[in-house]
Amino acid sequence: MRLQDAIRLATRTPDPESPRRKMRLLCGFTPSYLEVFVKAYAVQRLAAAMEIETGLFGNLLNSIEQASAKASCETAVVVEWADIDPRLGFRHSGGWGREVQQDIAAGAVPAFGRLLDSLRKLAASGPVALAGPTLPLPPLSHTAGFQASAFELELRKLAADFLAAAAGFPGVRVLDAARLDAFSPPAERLDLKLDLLAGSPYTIEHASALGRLILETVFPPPPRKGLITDLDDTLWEGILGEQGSDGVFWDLEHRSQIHGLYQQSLAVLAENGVLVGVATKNDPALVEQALNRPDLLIPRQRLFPIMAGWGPKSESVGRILAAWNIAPDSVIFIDDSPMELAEVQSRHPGIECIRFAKDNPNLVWETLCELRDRFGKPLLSEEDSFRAASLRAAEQIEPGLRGQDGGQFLRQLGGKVTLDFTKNAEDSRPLELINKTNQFNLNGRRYAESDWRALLQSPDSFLLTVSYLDKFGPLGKIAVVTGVLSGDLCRVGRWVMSCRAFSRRIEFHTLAGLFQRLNCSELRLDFAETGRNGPLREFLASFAALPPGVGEVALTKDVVLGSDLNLPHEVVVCG
Amino acid sequence: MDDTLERLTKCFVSVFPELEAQDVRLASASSMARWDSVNHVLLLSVVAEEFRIEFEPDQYEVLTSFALLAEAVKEKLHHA
Repeated sequence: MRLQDAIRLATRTPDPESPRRKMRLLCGFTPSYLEVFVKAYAVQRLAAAMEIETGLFGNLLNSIEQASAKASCETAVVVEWADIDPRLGFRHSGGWGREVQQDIAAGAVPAFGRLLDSLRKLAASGPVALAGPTLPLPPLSHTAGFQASAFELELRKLAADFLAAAAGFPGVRVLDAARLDAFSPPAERLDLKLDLLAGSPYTIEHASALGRLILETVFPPPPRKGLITDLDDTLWEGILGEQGSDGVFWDLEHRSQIHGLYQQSLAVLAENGVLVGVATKNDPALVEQALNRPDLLIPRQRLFPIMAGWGPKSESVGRILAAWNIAPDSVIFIDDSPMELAEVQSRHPGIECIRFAKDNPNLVWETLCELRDRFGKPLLSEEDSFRAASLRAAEQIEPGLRGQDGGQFLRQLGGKVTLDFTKNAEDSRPLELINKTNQFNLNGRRYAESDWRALLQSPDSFLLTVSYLDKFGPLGKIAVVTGVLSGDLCRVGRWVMSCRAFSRRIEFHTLAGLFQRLNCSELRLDFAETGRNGPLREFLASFAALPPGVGEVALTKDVVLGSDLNLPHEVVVCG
Repeated sequence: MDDTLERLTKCFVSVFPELEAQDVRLASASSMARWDSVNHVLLLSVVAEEFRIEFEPDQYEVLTSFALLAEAVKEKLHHA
């Protein structure tokens, strides 16, 4: 992005409807270009007007400490060598000789330590993106530039240790240096002229690359939820129907290692909570035989569901989406056949279709890296580890629920609903649920992390996190309700429930629990029709008439608790 | 207005979007509160980017009005 275009985007009058975002950008230099590019990418990617608060020139540590004492806010911290020791910058003349180097090395350890302590405090008040050092060290070593000196290596090791320690703090996200290198060659980052003139050391190109990565790290895009893969010439090399289950390969020996790498990538995604399903035109029995081969690099139980048959792939994909109960735009479909990709895309336009370029390992490598970006998330939750298992259990439960006495069936599940009213800002799961749930969602509105923390800090606010387990296993934390208490009235701002928890009457337990625990006589729900929240609307409509579009829905204690809620599960209230 | 002045005007408007078109040619650091050190650096960088030229360090201190910048740009383009 050109600077002129970035300034135009950053300074244009925001649309009154567009969201407003606020963040801090803390660094020890003048962040002129960097600030402009972060704002520009915010407009471009988030369609949001971004207000940026910057820190003090030349005193990063102080800026971080001051920010820690202020209200919760998304923050980016950029550390450069000059923040560790001014003699490593270019606006200071303290010498670069050997004695000075020893002094710098000795001082770098406590300097990184102080930064680490201040970052720990800052991260407690909101998410922090941490970058750096991104600029070159001065030419102070006795070695030629192509040979690293022990002094430089020592400093870089200290910086790497610092970043690794910071990455271990909840709330700190470290920018990947390799990704920055890909966008901004290290030799083209320093604008010494501007640094000496104005204390602004970045070239326009470097500020653009860093600004883009900062924005993505502070406000990451919502991750996709599911991946549907083809089998023949995709998960493995060969045609199962022709070569049999022992005739398909994914190893170096058969020049099919790229399929093995793909299997390994899918296994990692599945382990991290991504749903992985299979859509294949094959004989189901033969598919089972192949998928049960002990040398398969993704465990068979990680694949769910497996749709094998001879119909159009789009039909298999449709059945998988139904089993997962998620929208097409949360899913990626991978197949080696352009025809199959086009057929699926035509029937499910929201799905992202990616071709598995089996004959070009370099393109497959790009695909694997893209998958990491599409599915990556800052933190894993406990729920990520049993998402697929709970869907598999749901498949067993569904026929019982659809039977003549679904209520009786539910009571036999031995279900336990936990209603936890603890306001714990360190638990990332409630916010994750609010920001990714679509179907059972009161109004579709999302929270920035800083707004979320601010809500939880408010003395009048409440947070209800609902967990569930039954004899088929745990579903984990599957519903969240937040709002504000005002005397006898409870205003509910958000209410979401994972689609994995549908049909178990957990929403009825939640409603009863709210009235009982909060001791209010009326709930006023901030309702908005989103086009995707049909399940929520259907539930609310069983108690009250819904306004068209947007409006409040009032539910009184007498009406709700006076009706037949048919609550089948044991309930535990805590917090 | 010749092409150079038109392009320079666009640079000014991108950094100072509040400037009315008729006021751009009268703009100077002394008459505009928003023309501070940060926006000065941005303005000169945008102009350098637009005309593919580089300013000398000592020019940063003196090019503090539209008229002075226009003169400097024309000079650089003439000698390019």
